[in-house]
Amino acid sequence: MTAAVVLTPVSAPVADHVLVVALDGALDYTNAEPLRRNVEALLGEHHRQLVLDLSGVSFCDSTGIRILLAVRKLLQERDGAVTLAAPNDRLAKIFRVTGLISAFTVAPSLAEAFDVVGARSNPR
Amino acid sequence: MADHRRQWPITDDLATLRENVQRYAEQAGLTGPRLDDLVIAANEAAINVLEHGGGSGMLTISCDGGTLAVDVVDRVGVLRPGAVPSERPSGRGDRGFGLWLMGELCDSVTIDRIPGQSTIRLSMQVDGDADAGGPADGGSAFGRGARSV
Repeated sequence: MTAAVVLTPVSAPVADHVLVVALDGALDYTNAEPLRRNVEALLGEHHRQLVLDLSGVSFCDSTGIRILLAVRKLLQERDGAVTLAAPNDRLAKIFRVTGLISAFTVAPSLAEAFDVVGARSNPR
Repeated sequence: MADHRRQWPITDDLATLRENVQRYAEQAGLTGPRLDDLVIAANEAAINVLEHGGGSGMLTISCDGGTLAVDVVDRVGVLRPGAVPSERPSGRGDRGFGLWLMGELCDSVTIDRIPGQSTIRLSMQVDGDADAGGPADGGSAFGRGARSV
């Protein structure tokens, strides 16, 4: 099995309703499933926006995409959204080919992701 | 041309399988986004075996002239020729999605089936990429030491 993707909450200069999590590892068929649960465990009641820093993710396959969509649903259920930040070229390509890029906001860097969530409407 | 085929069993160690495919394809002259495309497609074909193809199979990679071929064989033989969708399936979770993705990423995807065994063949032309490489990259790179990936 591929080593588990490591989730690290990032303290960042963003509003309280924004959760920033850095992912590290390769996301594939053998290890993608726990990611949804692990993200859910980190989400507090007050979080409406999730920023996933993907700069440490070397690989993502169709199963990983399925799980990212499940994470997106988690946030949509609380009227929020997910922003994917800093995917490498390989991830950006697969997001583009699969159309995932239109299901998420994808920012080239973490700083730009913060701009995106800052610009989004404030939490209720 | 000498037979440079390499073969690996398909297990849940997809990370090692990807590294093996990447190393071979790189040495055969595939670079950049096309190298990524082949690694992603080979991974999808291996997932198909784990998920729908009985859970075990074999991946064989070979380079004949300017064509790099990855053959992924399962031991179920349910997958039939013509199963690669030309349009993106709406459900991202179904089997057709991985097959469609392989078709988008590779120069060609063909499926052969005999009773009890289906083979997905992913093909990539390497000529153009090898020519565009550095001075040491002309022609086949076999025989050089393996680069770490």
